[in-house]
Amino acid sequence: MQPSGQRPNNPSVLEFVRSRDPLLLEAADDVDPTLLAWSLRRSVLERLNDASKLTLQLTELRRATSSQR
Amino acid sequence: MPHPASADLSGLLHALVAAGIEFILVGGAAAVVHGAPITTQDVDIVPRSTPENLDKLSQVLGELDTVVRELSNRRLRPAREHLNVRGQLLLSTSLGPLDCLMTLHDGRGYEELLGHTIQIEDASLKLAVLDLETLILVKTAAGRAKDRIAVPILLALFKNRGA
Repeated sequence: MQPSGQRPNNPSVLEFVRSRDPLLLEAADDVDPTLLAWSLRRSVLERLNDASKLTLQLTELRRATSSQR
Repeated sequence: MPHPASADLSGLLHALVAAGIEFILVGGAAAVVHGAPITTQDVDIVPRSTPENLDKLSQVLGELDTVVRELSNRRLRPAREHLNVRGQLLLSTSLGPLDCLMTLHDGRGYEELLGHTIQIEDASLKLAVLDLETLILVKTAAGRAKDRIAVPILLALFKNRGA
């Protein structure tokens, strides 16, 4: 299950982001390419399930941390 | 039984798709579909605002024990007429938070956004997802903290795709 119908990159997207906050473009260069490559190899369903599980774990961790205070 | 604080993303999407609801997936879940390794607590959709589609959506919301998400937690159930608004309906379902955005912050609704979507298909899921370029533009313009965290990752995907 992969996206279809993607269009070529539009440079105006980068220009728009640069006009709003150039630091966002700099931060994009620091994103771990290995992590991205791993994520892109996952199916869309796996990506959704990964995100759900991780969010749930973070929510439980946050709840446990706040209850200890 | 209380609703979960974070969404079962695929469960919610499957429920909406199985009911034949026409919608565009936007927000963090759309970013995840594009391959962004991020977390998101809710599913954001822009439903098509035809009466038939809103009837189906209202039916599914009922089946998912949906209530309006609000601080006072009065467990107000969204009525069918609430779906006719042009704004945003923040909901809590038995599968987690669901935001029905009849329009985005920039005022665009389903019809205006449909030309900026890609189709995702497999045997069990057929989705219209806001395309990566538009998602970056929308999140950059919104400028909330959670958007500013996601935008660099979306930009890295965008650059990676063009490489």
